[in-house]
Amino acid sequence: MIATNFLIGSVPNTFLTSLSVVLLSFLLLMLLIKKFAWGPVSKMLDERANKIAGDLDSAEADRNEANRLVKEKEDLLANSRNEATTIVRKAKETAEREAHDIVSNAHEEGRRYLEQAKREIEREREVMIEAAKNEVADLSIQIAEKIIRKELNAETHQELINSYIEGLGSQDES
Amino acid sequence: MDEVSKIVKVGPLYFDLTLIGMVLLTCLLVFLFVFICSRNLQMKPKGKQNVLEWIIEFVKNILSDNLSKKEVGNFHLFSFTMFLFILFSNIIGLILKIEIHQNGEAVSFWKSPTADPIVTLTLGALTILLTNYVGIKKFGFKKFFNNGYMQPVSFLLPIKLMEDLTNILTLGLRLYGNIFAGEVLLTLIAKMAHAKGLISYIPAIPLEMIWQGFSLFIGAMQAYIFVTLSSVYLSHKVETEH
Repeated sequence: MIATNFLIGSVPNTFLTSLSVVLLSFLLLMLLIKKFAWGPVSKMLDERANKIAGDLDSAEADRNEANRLVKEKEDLLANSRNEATTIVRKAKETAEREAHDIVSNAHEEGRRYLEQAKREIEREREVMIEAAKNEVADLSIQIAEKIIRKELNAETHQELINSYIEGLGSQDES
Repeated sequence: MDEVSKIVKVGPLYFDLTLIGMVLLTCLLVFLFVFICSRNLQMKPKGKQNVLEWIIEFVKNILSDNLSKKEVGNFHLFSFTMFLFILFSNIIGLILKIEIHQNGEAVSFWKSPTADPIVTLTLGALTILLTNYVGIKKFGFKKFFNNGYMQPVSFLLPIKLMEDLTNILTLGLRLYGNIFAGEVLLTLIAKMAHAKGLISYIPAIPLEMIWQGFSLFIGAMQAYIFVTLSSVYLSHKVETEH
């Protein structure tokens, strides 16, 4: 078959015509494919590649954003916990201090009342002793006046009053 | 084989009608395939669009193995068209066998375009011419000639020039040989089927099926090899050697 195709002479030579037909039809085919299919397809491939790259980029950005938000929230949470602990501690301290104050105030007041009461009792007793002294003096004067009118003189009278008062004092001390 | 193509004479020129018809049919099929697959393109591909994109990516990967990223785009369309053209050419001859007996000759009306050396050598020559053209366009003639033909030493020039010619032959004749041999055996099996009536007809059917399947594999393989080799030859011309 090669022989018949390349042989020039008796057999018909179709080498050049076949060559040109193959060449032209191949080039035409290439041009047609370029015109009708290649442009749109390669454009689509490029678009897809770009879209995938864009999607990957935005996914990366989203992940970073999410990480940032999580960190922010964690910080906030930690801060809140610290604050809560501080508040509770302060409240406890205040309450303890107030309780302590109240108790010590109560002690103080009680002691003060006690002292006051003691002082009043003392004063009352002194007043009563004074009153009793006066009354006894009056009484004895009255008694002495009545006795004098009958039989006693002034020396005897004085002696009698003194011994009487001494007796009252020793009685009170016991 | 004694079968011949249908040849007509128009003016001083002879036209191989079988070959022309099959080349045009192949081009039509390739174009329809690509055209139909590229309708209704969607961002999320499905069905036919996936098929087309897979082939485009496949060819791109072949080129990427041999060429720098910048160069791939320049030859992508060429290699894609070449791949599909050769693939369809290789396969189309497996489907049918039309023979008309005229004046004691078996005139064939259906064959793979690539089962003809003229077609394959034309494609090979086109590829090698393109590699030279692209090299000249990229470097300018002087630098290209120095880079492509005078390296590493200038006395290799004749060998380098021969290399271009042998590249055409290796591209064209390997493809032709593979496909032509496949067609010959298909024809032989078909002839065997008719030789002894029913006795030979029945075993010929699975035999033909097996060989068609294998030829399908060979056809795809050869299209892949053609594109791979052409990208290797391209890389020799457009990449500077240090």
